Amino acid sequence: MTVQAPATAPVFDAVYARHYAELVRLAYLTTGSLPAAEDVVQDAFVEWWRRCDEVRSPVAYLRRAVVSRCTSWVRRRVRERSRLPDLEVAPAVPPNPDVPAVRSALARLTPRRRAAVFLRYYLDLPEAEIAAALGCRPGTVKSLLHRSLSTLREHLDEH
Amino acid sequence: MNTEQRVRAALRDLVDAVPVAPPPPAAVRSRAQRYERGSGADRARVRGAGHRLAPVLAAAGLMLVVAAVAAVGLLPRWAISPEPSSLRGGGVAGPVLPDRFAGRTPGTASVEAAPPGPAIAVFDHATAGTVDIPVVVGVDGRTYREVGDVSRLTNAGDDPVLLAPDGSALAGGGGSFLDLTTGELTVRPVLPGDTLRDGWKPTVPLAWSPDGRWLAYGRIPVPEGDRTDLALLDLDTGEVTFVTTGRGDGPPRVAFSPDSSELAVSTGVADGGAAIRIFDLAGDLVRELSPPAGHLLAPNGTAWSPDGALLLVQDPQRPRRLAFVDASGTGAAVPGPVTVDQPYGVEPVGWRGPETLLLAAYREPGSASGVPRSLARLVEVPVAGGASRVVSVFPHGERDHVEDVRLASGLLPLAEIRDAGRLDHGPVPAEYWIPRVAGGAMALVAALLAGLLVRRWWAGRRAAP
Repeated sequence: MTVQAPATAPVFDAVYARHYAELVRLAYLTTGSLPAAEDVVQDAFVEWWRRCDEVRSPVAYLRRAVVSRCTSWVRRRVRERSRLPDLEVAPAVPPNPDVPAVRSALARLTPRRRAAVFLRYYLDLPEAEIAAALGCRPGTVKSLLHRSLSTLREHLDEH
Repeated sequence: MNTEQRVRAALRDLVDAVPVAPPPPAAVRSRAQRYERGSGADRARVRGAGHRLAPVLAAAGLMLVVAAVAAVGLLPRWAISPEPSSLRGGGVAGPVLPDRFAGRTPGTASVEAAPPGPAIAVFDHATAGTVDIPVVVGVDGRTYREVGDVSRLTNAGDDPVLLAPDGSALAGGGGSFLDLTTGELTVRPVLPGDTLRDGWKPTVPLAWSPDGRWLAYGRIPVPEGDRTDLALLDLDTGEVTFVTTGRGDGPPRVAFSPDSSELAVSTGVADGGAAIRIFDLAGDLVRELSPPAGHLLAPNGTAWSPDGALLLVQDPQRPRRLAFVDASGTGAAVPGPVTVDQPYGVEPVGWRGPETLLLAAYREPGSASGVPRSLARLVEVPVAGGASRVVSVFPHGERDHVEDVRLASGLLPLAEIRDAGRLDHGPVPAEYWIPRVAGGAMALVAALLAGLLVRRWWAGRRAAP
């Protein structure tokens, strides 16, 4: 959804209805924690509502804010625990034989790479939009995805 | 199915299984309104599951505080009363470039919590399984601090930060600055979006003028069409001047002249390195220079020699080879190209003087896709050519990854290269040591209680008939 007007309550509700779940999943994959993901996404929506006059492209802003907050959250966790948090397992994952390999590969990726993988392979975003969400150059997206895919391929080959 | 299809399918299964139950949007909006009114309750998640744990958390917090207070007395002196590195020894010692850089450790303090003072270097350091974080090295060469919240300075930690020529501050995207003496973060807006601290930072710093007054920024993503705007921020007045540099497909490479009066620009591979344009700081084109085919200005704002005579250029496809261009455009003679005797290429990081370049050498070959490589060492190379000399090494364990080395250009000619002595990582961050001290304290209490119970049980058994 492309929204260029400042947010009103109906605009807010429409963006919220359409993108809340996808943003929580982005944050979950990046942080590895569902409670943290819900916190981060709600904080991002709150921030958007507070700054609605300044934000012209809310979906891009929200993705960017979520990735940024997730990165900060993971950095704090890394400092506390000296390693990246594992990905919590959802209660009902379908019996896809590749899921364990992908999950263990994701656990080895930095939060930025996890986010890049989600934006590319879950949301199917083009590189320019991924770059906007991650706040980096499109060339950096290429290298992030290249490295991430190498790690994923190694794990898939092992399983 | 190929790898990408398998990843796509597995990712969908993994992520779609996550139960997401959005709270009503009105509840989130009202939280924002409470926030505006300054209520503390707004910080809690709307669903508020954490409230049930409040008594437990309060008790745990009390224990942590007790443990922390006890532990402060046990910390070594250096850990609780750090001085900025520039103040040690009365501030009379000159800058030191360590002959061996240490990296960040889990206990390295942050710049924000324990400012290091002016720095000689900053570089991104990651070890396996951790994120890369800028590490600041003080002018004494032995003080190490990491940037505590790098997302406030860069776009998700992707873009490198710049170090001021005098080492006093870091410049990040979106007009952000981290003062290394006070640890304070400020924002000097370059573009309107720069006011969003946690949001998109539309500018990335490219070069800092030698006099410390000007910063050149590029836009991300680069504007489409035939123009690439550079923004010049005057730190004295806050004014921003835009320089239209011509077509390019990436942030341009730029360098200030040593007297900070001119800016050299090459605008990425779309130009094919065809021209280097020299602008004055009002944004007017002064002259154009022709580098060898395929060559661009050296990266990181390091291209202009300290005597103003040369511009250092490099062919991105041949990272071991360096060449020089007459900066005046008058046809003055320049030294011939230099092929550096480092196996995997080099990245210029500064000048030790008009005759000596300082380069960071890679420790692995490059890949066709341009995946970032780790840097291994700093080497000096004479402008006139000759063997390189290793002057410093970076952390080089199998798990270490070093990128984006930036040096304080104004301090380099004065810096002594030597063993910097005992490392100072600053006060161990509270979030690192409090859980460990508290855990130890709780284990001790548990052991004492267990001992008491065993003793009571044993005494009761002996007293029994």
